[in-house]
Amino acid sequence: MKRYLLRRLGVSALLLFLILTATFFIIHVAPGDPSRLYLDPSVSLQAQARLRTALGLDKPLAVQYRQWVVQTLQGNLGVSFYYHRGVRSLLAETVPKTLLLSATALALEFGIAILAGIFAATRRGRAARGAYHGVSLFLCSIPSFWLGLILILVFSYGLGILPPSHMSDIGMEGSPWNVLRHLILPALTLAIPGAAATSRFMFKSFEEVLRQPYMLTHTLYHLPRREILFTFALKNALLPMITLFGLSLPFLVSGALITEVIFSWPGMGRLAYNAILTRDYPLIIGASLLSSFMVLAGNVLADLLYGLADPRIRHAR
Amino acid sequence: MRKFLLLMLIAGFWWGCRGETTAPAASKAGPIVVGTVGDLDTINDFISQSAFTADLVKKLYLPLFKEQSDFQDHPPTFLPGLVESGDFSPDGKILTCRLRRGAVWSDGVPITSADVAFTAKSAASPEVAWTGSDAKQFITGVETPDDATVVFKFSRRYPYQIMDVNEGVIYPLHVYGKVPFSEWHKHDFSQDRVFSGPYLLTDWRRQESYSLEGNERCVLRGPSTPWPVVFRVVPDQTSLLTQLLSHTVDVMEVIPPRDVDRVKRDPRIEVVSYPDRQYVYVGWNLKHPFLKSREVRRALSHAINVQEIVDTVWYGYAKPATGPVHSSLWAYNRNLRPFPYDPDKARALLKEQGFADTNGDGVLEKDGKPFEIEVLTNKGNAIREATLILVQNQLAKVGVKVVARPLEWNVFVQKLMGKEFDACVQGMRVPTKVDLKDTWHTTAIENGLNVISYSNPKVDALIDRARAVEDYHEAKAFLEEAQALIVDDQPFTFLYENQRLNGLNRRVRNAKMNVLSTFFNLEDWTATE
Repeated sequence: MKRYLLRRLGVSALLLFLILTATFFIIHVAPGDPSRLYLDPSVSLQAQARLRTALGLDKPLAVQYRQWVVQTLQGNLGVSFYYHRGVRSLLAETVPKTLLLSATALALEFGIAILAGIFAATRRGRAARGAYHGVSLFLCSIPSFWLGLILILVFSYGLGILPPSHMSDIGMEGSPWNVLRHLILPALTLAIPGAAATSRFMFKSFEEVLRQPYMLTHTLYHLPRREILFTFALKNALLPMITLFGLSLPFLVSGALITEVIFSWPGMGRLAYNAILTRDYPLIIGASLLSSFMVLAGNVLADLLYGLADPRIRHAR
Repeated sequence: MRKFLLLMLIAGFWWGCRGETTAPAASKAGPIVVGTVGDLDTINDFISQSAFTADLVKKLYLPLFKEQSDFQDHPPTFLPGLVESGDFSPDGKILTCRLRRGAVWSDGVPITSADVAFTAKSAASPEVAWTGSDAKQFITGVETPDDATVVFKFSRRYPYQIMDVNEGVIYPLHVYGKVPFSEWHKHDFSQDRVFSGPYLLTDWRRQESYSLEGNERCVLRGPSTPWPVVFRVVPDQTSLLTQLLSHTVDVMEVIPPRDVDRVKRDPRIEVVSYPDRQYVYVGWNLKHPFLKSREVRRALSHAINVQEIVDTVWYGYAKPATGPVHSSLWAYNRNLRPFPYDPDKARALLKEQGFADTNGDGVLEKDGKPFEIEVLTNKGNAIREATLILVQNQLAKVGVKVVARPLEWNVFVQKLMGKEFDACVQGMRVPTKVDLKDTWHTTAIENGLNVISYSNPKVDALIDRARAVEDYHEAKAFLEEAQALIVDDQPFTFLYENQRLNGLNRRVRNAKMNVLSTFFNLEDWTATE
């Protein structure tokens, strides 16, 4: 197990380095750079050239790459071209805000999905199941930007009960209650389509568990139905959820971009998006580092959790 | 374990929502809330990449002079800023300025000529690489005979000397001077909040909001303290519009023209409109084998119905453009008229040039080649994209096939600067300093923004003469002639000059937005409950 873990971590570290190297070259080869954001008669080509020199972009790409590798290995992610601040401090400022939104959404997504899946799997009527399938298919097909705007329209402008944007009201920045109110709509926007899709996995898994012979045994022993469902069936039906949960971890830092833009949520997604538009190379690479790390860590974690939950997989390694 | 998880959740929640608490608003009416799509990137304009920052920084740091919006009949005049009075030497090459007595930075340190000299030095520094530094090219030296006097020396006399001196604001030597120029691009100037302007930046949350409070120590302070203003960053224009309509924000810059009627229906919101200092055009690449012909370009301009574009895309909130100088500027040639829409004349001109639809496919051909051009524009600008589609339809009617290609901004700029295009729909934002050299002079093909490769020796000579003369009346005559020649050549089809449409909640009083800036007199704005 230890050897397996070390091998996985080694491969992941190598993969992370390759991803970042590829990102470095792709963004440098892509058209434009920070000095080319201007198409203004008052900004001469000479002035643009001076800016390129000041930012170190006039050096050969190989030299820039070597500098980047050395600096990254020293734990220095550089300074943002746009914000003129350390990339690490910018990420440290925005990642918690994204995590707050995405973790809430993820918790809501899995909570709703598990309950909805169980509810649908325990219904016997065709109509109820048909309605469940129809509704869940509809919800998981909704694009999040559209759902976000509809939620704003209904709850902010129609009913006026929830704020449409930002993390807090002006002058209420320190109030957790105020933040919670602002969190509801963006978290639901992120959670609803995901919950609809995940609940279909849960439905299938729970339904299969209910068909197993040992479940019949529990029934024949006249155990209470609630105990059968939530003690014996749920435990086994949750196994596929572990994989899904592990695969959802990268979403914690990278999945909320559109929602952050619609709700003006000051998170990392917006920061990275703006970095791409302004060709802020250090910030793009910093954000890529974090996202890639989460993807790789999520995969490793999902494997480990699955191994812990299912001895057959553990032994196979 | 459950308790641990619960604690982690609470800690995570606290971590995510922690932050400084803003001071409560000075009045019951609360601060004026301005919704903005753009974010403030830094408070040092010399290293900024944002036009929005440049506008806001003028409220934090005083310039030497305050530019006025009276440039319709002459170059803009200036009111005193940090400079109380100034005189030119008889030959016009030396400007001696006396700084305002009692001017101090917000930390109480006096503002002296050393601050002005330091700012001039930083503006010229290649390590700072300020993109506006070309404005200082004729300033040969800055001297400080005493703390209250600054002397600017020029290589020659010309109409824009005060404007060039005034380009950029004045930064504090005792604060900014601690950071070597080579470190400016890496330095977080938000830690150094010492200001001289009417406002202080009191709270700054990147991607969220920034708050301005009145600076009690500003030497140009009026009888009352400026009203607190909060800028809320709302990156999505649709969300921003809904916030204006729900009165969550008081001010919104640039309302899409299609939404203006909707905004006007709200009795609490006023739509303030004034000319935007830009014109939109179709630029023809003169290296193209068909487009290098003046007659062909004139035919294309005759085929484009600008009024239809103005009515359809701008809902009437624009007017046809006539030439390369914006109609709000003193150098504008008032004798020019919009190029007439006349598709029959366009067809006739094209026929004269040897174009004919020989195979009956609706597209003209010449020398066996179809008249098919690719027209670029920047993706994401819905108005430009719609303009391009209308141009495509209108040119199709005279037998010219247009392939519309919206491109991401960086790709678009690369194609333009590399001259790898047939034509483009683009906007030209014009500074109040009229100089046609960077766009229309032959030398600007290699060293400037003459991306269409326009070259007319007569126009070059007129531009050079306009730049060389000392008197603006003389310069105007040369510039008017140059405009007439350019319009005659039609290297651009000049489309329209649009209005800037801002939404303003009527609770905000005394706001005078104008062609120079939405926030021209921000320090005079007040609000009611």
